[in-house]
Amino acid sequence: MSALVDALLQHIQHQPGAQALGWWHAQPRQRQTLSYGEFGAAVETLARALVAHTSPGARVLLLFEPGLEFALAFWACLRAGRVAVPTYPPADPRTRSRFLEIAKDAQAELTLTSRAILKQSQLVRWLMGSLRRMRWLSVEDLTGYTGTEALPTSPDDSLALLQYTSGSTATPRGVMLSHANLYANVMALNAARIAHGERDEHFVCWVPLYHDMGLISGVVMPLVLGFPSTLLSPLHFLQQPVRWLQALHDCRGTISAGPNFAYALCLRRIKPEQRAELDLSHWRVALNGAEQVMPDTLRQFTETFAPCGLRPETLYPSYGLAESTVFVAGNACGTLPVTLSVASESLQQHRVVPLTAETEAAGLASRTLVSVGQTWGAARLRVVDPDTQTLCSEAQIGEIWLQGPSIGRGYWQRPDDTAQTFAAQLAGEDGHWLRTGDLGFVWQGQLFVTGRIKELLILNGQNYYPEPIEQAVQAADPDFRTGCGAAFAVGQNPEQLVLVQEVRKQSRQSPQVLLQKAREAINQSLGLPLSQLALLPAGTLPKTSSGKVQRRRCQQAYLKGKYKRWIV
Amino acid sequence: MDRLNASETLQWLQQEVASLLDLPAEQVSLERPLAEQGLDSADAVGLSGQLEERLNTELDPTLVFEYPSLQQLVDYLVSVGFLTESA
Repeated sequence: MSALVDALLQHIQHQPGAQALGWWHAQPRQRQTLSYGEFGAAVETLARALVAHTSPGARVLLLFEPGLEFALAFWACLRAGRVAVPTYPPADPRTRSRFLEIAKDAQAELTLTSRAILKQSQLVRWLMGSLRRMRWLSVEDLTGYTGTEALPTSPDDSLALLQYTSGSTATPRGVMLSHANLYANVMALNAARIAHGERDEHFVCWVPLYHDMGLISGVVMPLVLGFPSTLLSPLHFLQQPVRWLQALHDCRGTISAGPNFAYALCLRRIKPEQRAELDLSHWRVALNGAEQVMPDTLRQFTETFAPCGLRPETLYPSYGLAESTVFVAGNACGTLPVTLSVASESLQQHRVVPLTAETEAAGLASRTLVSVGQTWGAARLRVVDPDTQTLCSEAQIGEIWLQGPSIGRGYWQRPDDTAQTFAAQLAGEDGHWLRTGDLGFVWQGQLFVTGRIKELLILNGQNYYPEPIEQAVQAADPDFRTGCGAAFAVGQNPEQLVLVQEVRKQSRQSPQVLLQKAREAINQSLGLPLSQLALLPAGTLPKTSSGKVQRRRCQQAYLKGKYKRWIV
Repeated sequence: MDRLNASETLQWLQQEVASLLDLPAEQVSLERPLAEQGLDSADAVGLSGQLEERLNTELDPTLVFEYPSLQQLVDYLVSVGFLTESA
């Protein structure tokens, strides 16, 4: 039996009456809970049904609206020795094609879903038409299953899950994660959690469970450690972000996670009278990860919610990626976030020169970075020059490479991508390394992530991050929409800087005037010449569903000539 | 509580969408799907939450996917009695 499944079985046996999972309702505010005993019995039944209906090691797509059924189906897959494949729920028509891509890539035998989704006959007929060989079953139809199939004892190295990642351009790739990977990652997070002492926790999670952060922090880590976890709908959170904090208030929640945008959304949408009714003094760990952690968001969130009892050391910047299960680095829980201001110019040479009192007084251009702490457990991290593939020194920025028990086996049925990403060699060091594609450095034992390699601009042999270029232009004139630009380089010898930038519709300035302003802004702040500017209409720049600019997609669209009519 | 009327709510929605898209209100179309005008999924769900707060009622988070334009959205809200028809 894998350590992962065994941990859950132990809690089912030893604390059957304790809360395993809860579901938080927004209106009216109330909770519905499942004890470890109840959850264990439901997992057992569903696991037997899965054994009866699928072959060993079969991939099972999990397709659920927000709710506890996903958690049940996920653990039943692990218990039955089947491979769980989390997928998006089909509410938004724009994500349906993604479901099809995943279903085909994973070669799933079965979609496990709910009766409600099966009833959306139009949708299901449409999906089924393209996936004729796959079976569809609802959890409700299987809860009464009375078969007595024996459940397998899956070893630690058996495949637990395919976690599909979107990537910036490519079709989704499934990261193969084993029972041992999940267990090791929970133990790494746990080491950070208890670094300042053991205590009881109550997890609260709104992050979708098909997202690695939601899966691990909502239904894997709590149940492996034997703590209660209360979930709420991601859609209810997006509707009214205050509900996240209300759920934390109601459950006296201690640990909860979200990407940076979730904290920014709380700042934008939660009203003072709503804040006045919140007690967040129990919240110990507010994990911020999966996106770049913004220093301003941390500071404003701390200040705004301090009157609710939120402590500054609760904010927990972290770094992770699906290829390493989810979690890579963070500080000991309960320590204050660490920031470092670095001279912008030094970043261009891939070096780290922290600001001093004198350089700061002299007004030297700088960028403030948030530390994402250190690795835990047996994980090893190296900062490597991506060109020479040799180790960087402390003051040097390079690609983050990883090794350890949380690293997945590779991408499902993509040997070339797997070899490239999961099997890098490092001179003088044994074994395979995972190339994260992220750039960063370690300063006084603290990891800082500076950007993505693929988004880096190399101009005249210097390295430039896209954000400062975009921000300089957006600050130069209000007609340039904030957060709606993409800077990238094209061509070779010499490489040229291109900026694709949205313009406010009511702009009365001619494109030539705007081009002049953009040129001046980039020249003054970074000393760079702008080769080409495309001025896009508002709302047309490619972005992810959480609002991140997709720079690689912009670059490809530009190279295909799709922005030709907008070029000034 | 008195129910709000359709035309006021339509105007208010137009204003809210305008501020999300950083546009002047008159440039937000009432007829075209919001997604086509640049509203992303997260903001579309957020808009249903802002409506919940304004109408003091519970609404489906995916409302804006089902009624993709502001006019369709308001027509729906009138049809289920959350809004009164404009005088």
